[in-house]
Amino acid sequence: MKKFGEESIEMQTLQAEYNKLKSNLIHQKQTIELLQGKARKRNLNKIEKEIRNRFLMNSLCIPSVIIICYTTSFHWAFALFICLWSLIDLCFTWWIKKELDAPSLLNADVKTATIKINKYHQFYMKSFIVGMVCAPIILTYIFIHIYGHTQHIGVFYDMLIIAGITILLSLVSTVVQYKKHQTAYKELIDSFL
Amino acid sequence: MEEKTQLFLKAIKAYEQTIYTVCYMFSTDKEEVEDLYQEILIKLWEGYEGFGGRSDLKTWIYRVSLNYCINFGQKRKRDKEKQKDFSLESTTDYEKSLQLKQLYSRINSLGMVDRSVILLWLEGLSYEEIASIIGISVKNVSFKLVRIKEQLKKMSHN
Repeated sequence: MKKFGEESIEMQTLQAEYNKLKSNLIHQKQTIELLQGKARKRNLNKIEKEIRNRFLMNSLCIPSVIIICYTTSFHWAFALFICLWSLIDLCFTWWIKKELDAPSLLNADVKTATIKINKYHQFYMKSFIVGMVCAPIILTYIFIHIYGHTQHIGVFYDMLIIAGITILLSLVSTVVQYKKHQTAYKELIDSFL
Repeated sequence: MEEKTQLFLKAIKAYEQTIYTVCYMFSTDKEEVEDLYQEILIKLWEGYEGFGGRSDLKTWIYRVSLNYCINFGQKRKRDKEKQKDFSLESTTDYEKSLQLKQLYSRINSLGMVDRSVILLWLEGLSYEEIASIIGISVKNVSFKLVRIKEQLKKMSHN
């Protein structure tokens, strides 16, 4: 094989510089991939925390509602409704956790990862809408029930204000949680694209 | 993972460094380089089934990569896009960056085909391999390299 330019200093310099550039680029690429991996892990941890909190809330809700309704005068149907809702949400959360399969997501290809993440996001959106509709209704029922069992007629307006503030706070809290989720979801998707 | 995918990944792994460097020689923009690199991988994946070992794998990979980069470079020239400033992002050493900038400007000043020839030569390919990839004669490869050498000499004097 004819080797061109072995004596040529310019070509030798060019070869040396080219080899340096090549190793530099690969090092850069590997660093970027490492950083991307870390960003993905961090964003995925936020989603996993969301799911864990959901599990915790639903798990605590069921016994709490049973105790409260047993010790107060709430109708058993109301307790049953809340418990069923929590149980259904718990089951769906467990199902979506399985579907998301967070540990394998880090090494998954872009298409699989984005499909799974979007599935989780859709689940979150649906449960968010249900929550936004049902929470005010449930809270209203609770306050009506409490008012109905008070012996002081004059507390109507006080109850109304407290009920209003409670409902507003619950809606604000839900919206804040939703915005947090949106940020985490977008960051996670971006880290895969 | 499918066997075909595994074979493809194994084949590409050995050349990904080269493909990436070649892409870098045809664009100054980091995002463009990444896009070029991804698109070449897609092209290689699409063509892998039809490849069937008719020629040397190395030759085929170089040919697909360079053809794509040359087409991209020509399209860019036609669109008359302004090139962004060269930057090697992780380099904090100014001298190193300057050296690489000079390397880049020297190779980038060559025509598309000449750029391909010199890149293949820098990769250590023989004249016959270069000729086979570019689609020119071995004599032509030799002639082009002589001309490139003269051009580089002029540039270093300037």
